[in-house]
Amino acid sequence: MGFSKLTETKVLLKQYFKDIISIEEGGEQRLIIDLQSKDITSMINHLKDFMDFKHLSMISCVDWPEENKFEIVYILTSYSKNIVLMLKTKIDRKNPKLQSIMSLWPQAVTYEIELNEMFGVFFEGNDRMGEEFILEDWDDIPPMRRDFDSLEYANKNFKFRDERKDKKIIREFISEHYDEWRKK
Amino acid sequence: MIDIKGILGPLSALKFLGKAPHTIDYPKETKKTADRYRGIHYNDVEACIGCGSCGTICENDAIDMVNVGFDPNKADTGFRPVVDYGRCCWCALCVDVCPSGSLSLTKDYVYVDDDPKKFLYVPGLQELGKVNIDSTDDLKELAKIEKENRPKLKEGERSWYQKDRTEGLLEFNRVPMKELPGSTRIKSFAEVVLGYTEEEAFMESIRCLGCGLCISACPDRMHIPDYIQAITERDYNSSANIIYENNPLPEMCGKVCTRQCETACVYHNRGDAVAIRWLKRFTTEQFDDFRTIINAEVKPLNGKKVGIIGAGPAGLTVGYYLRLRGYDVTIYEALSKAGGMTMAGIPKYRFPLDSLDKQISYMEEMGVRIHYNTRVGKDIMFDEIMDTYDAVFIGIGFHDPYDLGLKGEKEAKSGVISAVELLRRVNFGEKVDVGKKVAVIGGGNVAIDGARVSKRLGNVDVTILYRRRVQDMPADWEEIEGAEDEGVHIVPQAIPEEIMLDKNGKVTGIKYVMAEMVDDGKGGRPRPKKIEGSEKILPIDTLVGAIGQQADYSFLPDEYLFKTQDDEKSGSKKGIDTFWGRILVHGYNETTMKKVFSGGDMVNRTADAISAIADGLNAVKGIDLFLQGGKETKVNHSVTESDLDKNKLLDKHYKMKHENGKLVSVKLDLSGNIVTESVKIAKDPDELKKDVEKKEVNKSTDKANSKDKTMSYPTKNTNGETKKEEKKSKSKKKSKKKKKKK
Ligand SMILES: Cc1cc2nc3c(=O)[nH]c(=O)nc-3n(C[C@H](O)[C@H](O)[C@H](O)COP(=O)(O)OP(=O)(O)OC[C@H]3O[C@@H](n4cnc5c(N)ncnc54)[C@H](O)[C@@H]3O)c2cc1C
Ligand code: SF4
Repeated sequence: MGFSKLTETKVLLKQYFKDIISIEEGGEQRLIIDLQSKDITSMINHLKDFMDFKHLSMISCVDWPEENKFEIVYILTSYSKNIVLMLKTKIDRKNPKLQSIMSLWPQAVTYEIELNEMFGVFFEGNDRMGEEFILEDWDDIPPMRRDFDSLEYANKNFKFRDERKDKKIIREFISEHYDEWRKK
Repeated sequence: MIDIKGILGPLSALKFLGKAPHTIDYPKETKKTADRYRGIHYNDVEACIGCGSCGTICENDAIDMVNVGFDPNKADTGFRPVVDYGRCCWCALCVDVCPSGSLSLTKDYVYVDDDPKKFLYVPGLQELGKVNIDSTDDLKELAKIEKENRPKLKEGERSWYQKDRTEGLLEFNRVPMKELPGSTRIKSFAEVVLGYTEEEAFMESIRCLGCGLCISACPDRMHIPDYIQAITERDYNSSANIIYENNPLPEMCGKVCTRQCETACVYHNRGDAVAIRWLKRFTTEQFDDFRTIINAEVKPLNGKKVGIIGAGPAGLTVGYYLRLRGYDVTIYEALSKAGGMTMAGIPKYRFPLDSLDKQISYMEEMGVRIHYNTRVGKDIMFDEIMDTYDAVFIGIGFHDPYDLGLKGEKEAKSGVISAVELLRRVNFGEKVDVGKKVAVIGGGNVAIDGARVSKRLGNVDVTILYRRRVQDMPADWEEIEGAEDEGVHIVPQAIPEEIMLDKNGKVTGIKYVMAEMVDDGKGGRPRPKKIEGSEKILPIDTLVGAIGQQADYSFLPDEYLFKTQDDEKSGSKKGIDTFWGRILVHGYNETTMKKVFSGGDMVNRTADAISAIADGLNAVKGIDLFLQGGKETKVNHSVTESDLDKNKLLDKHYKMKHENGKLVSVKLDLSGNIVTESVKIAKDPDELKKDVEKKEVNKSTDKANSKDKTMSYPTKNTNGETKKEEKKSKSKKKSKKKKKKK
């Protein structure tokens, strides 16, 4: 009995990339790989060219202000192996830069522009960096950063309707009427 | 090698041929939209509890809460969300956070309006054109109609319908509490519950949504969300200070409170309530000494003196908070330690002594004076207290056990003991020999405590005999389970008949008869009926009675007891009025006698520690008003008919009277005339409680029935539905009527 494809992929990756931080199974036919940011491009290259991970499902980002990091997440799929990989790497939040992978998958451009707009992550080598994605004339910090206060933004930019002029904070409003409704 | 799989792979998509697509409609349907469409939320207004979590999380401030007009039950604020569709961005955070699972989002437009300026809608009610409702019945009916008329989802289609979803923002499971295993527990009186670690407490505290519904269920209205919030911030100091604002015995409550708050928690219906009690316990356990952290201001003495009888939770609360307000307080306590039943009754494996001492010694440091071993009526007379103090608080609790009323009880010389006496003696460190076989009679918490304590007195076989089924036992379920874990044997449907004695009057056994449960014929709970010939004898060394307690009013001289009208005519003062063994009180826990206040077990019906504390706090406000308010006192020392009603009385009224040196109760009518003489209050208090509850239920259903049940939809189209919509809702009504006819 040979190894399963999953174990095989795990072992191979560990051999090639000695600096992998962790690699673990994240469900059926899924691997979650934590990498250093310097390895990310070579790993993705290797995965696409030699290990048949031909499909880029998406690129995403998680904000960790407590650690001062952004975590960039790539999801790749191999149809022949029937395996989904989640590659994660943390980069400095103050100077968030990473190499673009548009030369491998042209559609990566869109994801990268989106992350640039929503988090302010800069992808070097992406010639469309800085283009507007969905926000027009945005003049605040990137809105998906956790220190962006959407409520404050909404209240700064949008008026309350006349009926709601004396809008109260809900919890306070409820506790104000508290005794009234609990009396019975 | 040619990668055949790579070529054939995409063909696997063929297997979806002929299946209904999930993402697009085929054949393509264009969505019908009306001129002015708004609204994508549904709300099941019956399941909704008005907690306001949706509006709190909304990043666009798109939700307000409105009072929709009905009289809500406990654990419901009576408010419902109103959504501003000029602001909603369809993010569904509100649905993800909805703890009742009532709110959901759809891709349909639910409300339509000709008025372009109309943006605010109350989901769940506005569809039906009715945003004001009169009663919970109304609410139920509307919710049903609303649900029936929701567009059905196609197969495989998803909406943010949250009811059965377990993913999302909420955690429905509580952090489990570690306990000693049953076999270890019975070896000692070591505390069973081990308490949360800092991390566990944090994880549990972040489950709280902060809505505060629990406050409405807490008799003492503690500031629950605030002290839990302080735990999430790891600021245990503030947490303890918030708790101390209205509870001077928080560690006791953290360990043994009956936690009515948890039944009102928003998680209660769909998962585990937040472990409010354990969190309070966690906070108080962080400090060895409260002096250093509680920054309560003690006002200088104002010259007024208050005397307090009984150092139970009620008396201690009055003492502590009155001292803070500048009163000179003195508590008279019959026992050698303070704490009342929480000292003398609650077993030490639930509430250890050092924990109690820590709280009492803090109070004494703050200036609460306690005279121990001083029984009022024996060591000091009630008259003297009345003369010495500007106000008096009575909080003597229920310490007098009911007799079992069994054959052989009077003749027994040894081997019969009441649970409260057993517990008191064990808690005060006396050695109690119960032999090797014990039977406990009763089904409440006191019975279970009696059984579990007996179990710890050595290698003892303990059996609980209870008249009804296990599910009828008034004891907490956890307590029953705890007892079973420890090897206590429970025999349900067993009615004790006779205590068997040897020639020296020592107990040798208990004769009981098995019962079957029969319908009481009135729709109430089934009654036990003896099965002829099923008598059994259980050999025992000790019989523990736990069928209830009453107050011992023998310290009250006759002149302080309530007078009938005749007495009043003859000029004597009005005294302290009681009903079914409980002292009658008004809004601020004032009794019918001037300057006398009362609270705790012998006043309230919930008979737990937190209610005693709540009574105490209320009396503190009353005494403060009474002593500071001058002429403008709001404290009202008299009984009116409506007060009697408020006190949930049945139709008759009792008074206490001395008879041959013993206090008995006499039945009166509402104007205070004696109806019948001399009945001892011997009704099982559980029964009594049930009776009263039943009465209340009947009352409220009567009320509901008498109300006009027809719902009124606006005849004129006030909500501005389009003509077509209006017709639709009319036909809805019609079909409803038809259904009703069927
Ligand atoms: C076995 C048992 C277990 C319980 N478990 C729980 C529980 O888990 N959770 C919970 O919330 N509640 C529990 N309770 C109920 C709770 O202990 C009481 O509700 C609470 O203590 C009532 O407080 P109180 O101040 O009204 O009266 P008590 O606590 O009864 O205090 C009255 C005090 O007055 C003193 N006294 C009486 N007469 C005189 C007199 N003439 N002169 C001077 N002093 C006098 C008594 O010695 C006593 O110390 C339990 C009760 C029992 C019996
Ligand atoms: S869907 Fe989002 S924006 Fe709309 S009311 Fe709910 S939380 Fe607010």
